[in-house]
Amino acid sequence: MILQLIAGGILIGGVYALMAVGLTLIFGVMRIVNFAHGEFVMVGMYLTFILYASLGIDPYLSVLIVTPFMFLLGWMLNGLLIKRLIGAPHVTQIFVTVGLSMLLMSLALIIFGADYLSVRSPLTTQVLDVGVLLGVPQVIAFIISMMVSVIIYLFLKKTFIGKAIRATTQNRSSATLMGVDVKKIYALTFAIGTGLTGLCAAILLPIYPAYPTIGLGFVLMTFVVVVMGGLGSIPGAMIGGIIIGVIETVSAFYFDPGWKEAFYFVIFILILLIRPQGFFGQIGAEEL
Amino acid sequence: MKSKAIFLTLFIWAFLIGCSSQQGSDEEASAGEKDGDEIRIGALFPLTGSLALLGNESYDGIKLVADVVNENGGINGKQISLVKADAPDATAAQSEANRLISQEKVPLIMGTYSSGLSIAATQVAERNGTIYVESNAVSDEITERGFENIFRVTESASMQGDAAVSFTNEYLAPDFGVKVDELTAVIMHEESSFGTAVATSIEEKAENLGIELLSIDSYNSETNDLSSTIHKYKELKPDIVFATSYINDAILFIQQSKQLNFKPKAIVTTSGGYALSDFGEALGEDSNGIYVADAPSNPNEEALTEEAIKLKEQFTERWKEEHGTELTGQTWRVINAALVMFTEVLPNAESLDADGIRNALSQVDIPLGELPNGSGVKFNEIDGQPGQNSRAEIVMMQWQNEDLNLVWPGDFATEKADNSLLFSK
Repeated sequence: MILQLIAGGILIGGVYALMAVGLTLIFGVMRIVNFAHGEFVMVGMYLTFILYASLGIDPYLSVLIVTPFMFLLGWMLNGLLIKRLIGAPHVTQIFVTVGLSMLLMSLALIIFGADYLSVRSPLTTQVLDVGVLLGVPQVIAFIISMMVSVIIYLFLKKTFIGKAIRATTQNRSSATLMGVDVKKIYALTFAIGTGLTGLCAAILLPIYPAYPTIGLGFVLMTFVVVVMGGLGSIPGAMIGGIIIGVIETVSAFYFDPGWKEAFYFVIFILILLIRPQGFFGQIGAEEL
Repeated sequence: MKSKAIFLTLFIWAFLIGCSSQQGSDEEASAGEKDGDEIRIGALFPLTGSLALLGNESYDGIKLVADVVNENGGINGKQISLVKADAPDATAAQSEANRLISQEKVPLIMGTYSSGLSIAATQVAERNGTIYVESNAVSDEITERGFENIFRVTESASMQGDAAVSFTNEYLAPDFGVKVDELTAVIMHEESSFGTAVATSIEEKAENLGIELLSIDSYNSETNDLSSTIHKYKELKPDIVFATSYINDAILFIQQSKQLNFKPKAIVTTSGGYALSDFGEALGEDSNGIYVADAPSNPNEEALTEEAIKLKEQFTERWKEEHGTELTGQTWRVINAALVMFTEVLPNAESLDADGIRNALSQVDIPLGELPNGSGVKFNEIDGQPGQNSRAEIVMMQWQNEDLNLVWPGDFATEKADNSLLFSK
């Protein structure tokens, strides 16, 4: 039984991880706390639903449309709104991103109403029985999210642009002095982070219905994952996501499921007591 | 630059929509004050936020009855004007109730869909001596506090729990061929006021009958995983799962149960998410077989009076025209409450203030079967709750062929209950 719980936790954790990778990138590079991250997932889910309902495109295929669309949306939102927040006081950042999140939720409510829109795929309730039961859509979501996280990690480590992004993370002014176009890097980072929410949305729609407030259910936990893993750290986000997933399923089995949030917050606080910078964070990174 | 311009226009457009709808309701309201031949009634529901789906549907239910009554000449010649209030959370429920009472000066508020919101808003109404009629929140606490201005037309949570357990006793146990005290069960409920109240009632009634309760589990309705609870139930092997959920979690529970191959003999749920058309749409054939204790919709016409049949057909048709969906038990609750208020209570009230409306409410006496869903109305103390309608009907529905059919009790039933439907494919 414990194996089954851990396996389930790892699978759901993979999805948290993918969401957290986008957020941690934005957080780490731009120092912006993006409270609208969950709502980007919601927008992506509606888009995936529209593609499915009007053109019959399978959610897994629509990844190829939704991800670039969200990337562009991220790029435009950065130009319009987010870039003005760089270096602004935290309060301003919070007001703007919380405001954006409310705007997106209200727009979804106006356009789609409060209905729960879901995609019935034959895969939805399929399972793999490998000693433990693994839901097929969950396995697909896990594999895609791990693959993409690794790709993003390699992109940051191996490519020139990746190096420029990391340089900006470590020290904004030195990077500028070295000839890095910091503004472009910010735009790119925000767009990648937002693009990832689109990917996430498409692989989540076979599991969860789309509705205006679905982002709220995920965003709090995504923040916990990001802080636990260390601001800006991709491996941190992956490990953090999986740990939270496992804590959730195991604690919900042995105790009341209503207590699972309490459990992961207690463990979160304990980890921060021992390692205030998170698993892979730099000490003092949040002050850069 | 162009993209910026487009985005700016989009944003401005979005804000304007937001503002104009706000404006609309305000104007309606102030017009009512001027000419004086309108009756202004507060309608308080969660119209935005996570409860918006049923909040809006509830408001539309009241609006439908108000429109029909207005078209037929209104209440003693006065048109009904609804003053809309949006209460996405308990704080908003209190401040909106305050606004309706002190600024809009409505003599009557109707609401609220969610029990948590109702408990908050009714406190304000009681304190200010304004009549508050609860159309569709079921928590016992709403009418249990002995408030003199709070009335509930629909059933209470304990009446729902009672129906779930009575159905188990009267139908399921004989059908399984066992005595009721040989059955085992688990109770799974969302942790807000609604779920907790129903679960408490089921627990008490199940224990009285000797049903063995193996586990009681609460969870947050915004959860995105219930697999751990399902694994636990797979080990406990209960005969029956009693479940009370909102929509998101209802879909999740059934989807994951099917996925993890958990199949009890029966899943008996109470209202909430399980009773919604979105539930059937999201799950398709996996919804089949699930029992839902709910306010009746579309009962056997033999249980209704002729007048009630006529009303039923009229509202069903009109709702379909306006919304394109079937009326659910949930919306019938609101329609019933509005019908009682707009066609019985307010026309017979001596004065349109708290005392007048309260007296008229206490004199309402509608026998069973006269409302379009088969209920009647009499506010005489039941379970120690003074404002509770003792004639609110509660029945058992079952998802069959992706439709919700009434299967129990016998005189209301239109279809036969069938235990073999659950996860049959």
